[in-house]
Amino acid sequence: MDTPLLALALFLILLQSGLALWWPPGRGFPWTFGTAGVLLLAAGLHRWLLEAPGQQLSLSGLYLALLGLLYLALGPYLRDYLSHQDSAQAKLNAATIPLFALSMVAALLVPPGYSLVFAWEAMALLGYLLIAWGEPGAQTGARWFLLSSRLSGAGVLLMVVALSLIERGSASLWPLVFVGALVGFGVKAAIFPLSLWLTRAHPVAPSPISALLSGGMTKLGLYGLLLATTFQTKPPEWMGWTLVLLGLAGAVYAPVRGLAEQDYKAVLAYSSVENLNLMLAGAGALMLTQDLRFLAALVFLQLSHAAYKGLLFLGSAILPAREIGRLGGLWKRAPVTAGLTLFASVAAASLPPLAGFLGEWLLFLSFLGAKGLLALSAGMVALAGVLASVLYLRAFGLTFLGSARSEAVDRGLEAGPGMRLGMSLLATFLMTISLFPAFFLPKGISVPLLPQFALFAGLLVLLTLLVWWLKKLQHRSYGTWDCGYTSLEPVMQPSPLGYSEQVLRLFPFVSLRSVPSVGVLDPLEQAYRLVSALYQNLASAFQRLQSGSIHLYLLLQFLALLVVLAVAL
Amino acid sequence: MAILATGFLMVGRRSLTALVRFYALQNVLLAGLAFALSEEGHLVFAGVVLLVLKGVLIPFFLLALLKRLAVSHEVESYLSIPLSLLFGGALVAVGFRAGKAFALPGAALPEAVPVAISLILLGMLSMATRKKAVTQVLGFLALENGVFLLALSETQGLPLFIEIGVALDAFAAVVLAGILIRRIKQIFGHLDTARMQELKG
Repeated sequence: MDTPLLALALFLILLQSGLALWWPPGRGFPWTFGTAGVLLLAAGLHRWLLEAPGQQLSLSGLYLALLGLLYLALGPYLRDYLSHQDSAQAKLNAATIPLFALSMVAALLVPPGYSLVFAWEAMALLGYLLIAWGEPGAQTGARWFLLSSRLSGAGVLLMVVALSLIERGSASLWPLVFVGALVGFGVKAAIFPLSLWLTRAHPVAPSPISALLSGGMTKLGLYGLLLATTFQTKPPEWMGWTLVLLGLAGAVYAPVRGLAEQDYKAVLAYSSVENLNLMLAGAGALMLTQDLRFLAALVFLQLSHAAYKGLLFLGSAILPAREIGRLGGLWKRAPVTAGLTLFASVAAASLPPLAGFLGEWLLFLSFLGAKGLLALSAGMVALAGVLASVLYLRAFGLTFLGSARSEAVDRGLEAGPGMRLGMSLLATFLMTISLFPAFFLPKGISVPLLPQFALFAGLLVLLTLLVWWLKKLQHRSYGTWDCGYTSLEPVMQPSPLGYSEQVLRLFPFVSLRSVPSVGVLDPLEQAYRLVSALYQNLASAFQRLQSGSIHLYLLLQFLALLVVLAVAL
Repeated sequence: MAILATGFLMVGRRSLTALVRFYALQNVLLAGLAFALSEEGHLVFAGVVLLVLKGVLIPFFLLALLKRLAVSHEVESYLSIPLSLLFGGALVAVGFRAGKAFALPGAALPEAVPVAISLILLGMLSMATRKKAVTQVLGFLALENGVFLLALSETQGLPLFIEIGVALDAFAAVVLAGILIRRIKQIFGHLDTARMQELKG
């Protein structure tokens, strides 16, 4: 029943890619992308709500809806965004973005076989191109993305090959399937030690691409992991535990590391890593316990994450500079974007009563109710939530409030009407899922939901009272405490690292250094450096074999033949 | 056995012209074997092609090449002759040990399989240890003969086209190698591959 809807949506996206080649960049996007988004949202929700939960059809429905939501918002957004760009490059982007969008949808629609590998690789390649075409310095980040995609692609291929061999009767290969799924989909979902690529690639991508990558593509990794659980009646225990442990480690590490970050989009990327790792931990617990409450938590976490992280990344397009230390006071220049960003930040900081909080709350409750050691995870979930709040308080406060820290802010402009519409659509969806969470759960899953309306009403009343009380207070301004300064300068505002230094002291695994220049000491980055140095050494050791002497080459072949003979006997 | 002896002599002789002659003799013997094994018509044909092409044409071509380039007739090697012979003996032992396991159930001539493998190994040995480009070509040709002998002894006769293809292939390889050797001589003034070590990344 939903096939025509999906076919029409795919056709529209493809049509846009073709049209973009001769239309001026950005034209047509609201209609094609917007309609395709609505269709995908409808078809996806239909699948998710009506098919039997836990199977591929229903799972892919959830993610189709999620992608549909992002495409719907990107339609009007891209029209404004692309028309402001250099036209040749914008044209190329306008033709490639629909293809990227198409490959993500394709990855959801195909069964787990070689066609999945194809869609997965197409997604990786197009994503790489879109990042690399961004700002001049984007090459390094794009290469990080490509490198991680290679790893991910290899994992998926391993899984598919093992699956096809199992179909022919070698049942001992099941562990390989799950190892492949863990690596292939885990890397895409930024599982903890392999998460560095996300924080390198997403900040340098153009804003709509970051939104698509962070809101959409990373979720496909989770889709894959959940899909892998449907292969057997019960996935292996070690896989669940790996996901839970790595996920929780990442969920605490990422926000702390994000607090030591000075780049606004990198902060958002670290927050994505935190959210994704929480979801991975939830997925792992779901595999261990088969408790559908974890699935419900995942639903809210993912849908709200797609909406608020999409919104935050889309909003970051108006920033005149990426370094928080050069921003400040943007609220006055772009009130609408700032307001929407504030709303998304509140959701992202998992403050009640928005859907971000609902997801974390359900995850917390489910962990608390789990048997054995798993219950201990609840503490980590709570800690991650608190850290996320600090992260967003810092990112939003230093960027949008206060006064400008450099002249760059003077170039800041409000987003165009299409961009504002796109962001508002995401905000509306966020509000909808916050107010009517029960609608987004299929029949099979019942969880204790909060009385959302009462909560909203109560908070609204409290807020009105507070405003009224603050207005009533008499205040006067005088210079008692200005300590001899005649005026306050923008440089007197807290600096991004100074602001978080206190919190960072509590978590000694990430430390700041001031000599020779201000920077961050990150054990994960050091480990990566070590691995890359080892690899370089190994490679140059192998290169010594290439001496240039024909005789040595012939001798090596000769020895290889002898070894093969010896093995064969 | 005689084929193996020619292979051994190829390792053991110092003179280049003698090497080419032994190669020719090896080919003639191989052709004779092909005739002896021929039950069907096409092995005869293959034997004739082998005899003409490899027994006569290639050796003459190589000898003419050697004369024209005025290469010294000394074989230069990393290993001394006795040491090469010693290694050759060890390789033949390996070949016989491996050859026993390699003989397929339906083989036409299972006794020849160890010989073929020994020939391949000896060819590789002379390719790896000899310094001059010409000797490497000869080593390659001996190796190729080993492959041919293996095919002859293991199967009930390959399809005609494949055999002719293989023979022509070897001929083309020799012609190409001849041109290459002439160019090397022209450009570098010598044929010592041990002195060519510049090409590397």
